[in-house]
Amino acid sequence: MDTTRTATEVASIDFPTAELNFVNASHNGTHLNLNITNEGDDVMNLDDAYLTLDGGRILRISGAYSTSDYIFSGEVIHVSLVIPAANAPARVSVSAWGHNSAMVVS
Amino acid sequence: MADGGTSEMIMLTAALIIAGIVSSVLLASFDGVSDSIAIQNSDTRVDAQTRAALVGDPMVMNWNGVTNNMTIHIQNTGSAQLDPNVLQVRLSNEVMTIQSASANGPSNLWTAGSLMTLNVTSGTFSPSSGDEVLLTIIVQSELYGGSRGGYSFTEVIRID
Repeated sequence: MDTTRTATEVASIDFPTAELNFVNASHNGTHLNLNITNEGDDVMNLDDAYLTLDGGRILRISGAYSTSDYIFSGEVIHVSLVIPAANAPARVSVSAWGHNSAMVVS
Repeated sequence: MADGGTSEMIMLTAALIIAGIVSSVLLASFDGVSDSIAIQNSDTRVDAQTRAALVGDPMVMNWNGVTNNMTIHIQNTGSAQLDPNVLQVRLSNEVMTIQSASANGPSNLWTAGSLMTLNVTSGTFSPSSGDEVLLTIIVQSELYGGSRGGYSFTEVIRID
């Protein structure tokens, strides 16, 4: 009985399947503009999602996007960061719950 | 008749004693098996709840050739809290020295979903830009009911 219950508990551990990917990433001289979508099944708390610029600077998406706390499946959010042209990253990545997605900034 | 009754009584007593010994041995053995299954279940459950993943761009991992170190971000992608004191980082199978480790979870704990930022260094490992190396991370959970969960993953990263 105990074994059965434990096996059920293990099987029922439900890790998020949110998959954040870039729709596009661009820099207009003053701002880095990122459109990010959730291609997974679950709602993602933006506290758990991170942006990396050129593999160095890392920031929580929730710190850069204040419109909502969550991104729903199929939703696209627009994140805009003030970054002067001199420091514009060439590449960005978004990571959450084991899923990484990267894109070259146009 | 009386002799026969006595020997039957002796046989019966002997049979009862043997049966008692066998049953107590079996009960002790079942207890052991049951305990062992319970421990295994606990280990399996914590193992299943222990997960971690690299945060960042594996194609652009900055290695500082001057200070000979690298910053790595690891997210706790499980549901068990992870123990930063039993963390191991390997680059090209070489165990790295962890210079600093800080988690951004509540009370700086490495809770589910939170990020651990590590600075790692090595006295001998000095990759060049463009090198592609194996990064291995080994994590363990905090103790849950006397059991720790374990998890490891390996990714190819490109040194920038």
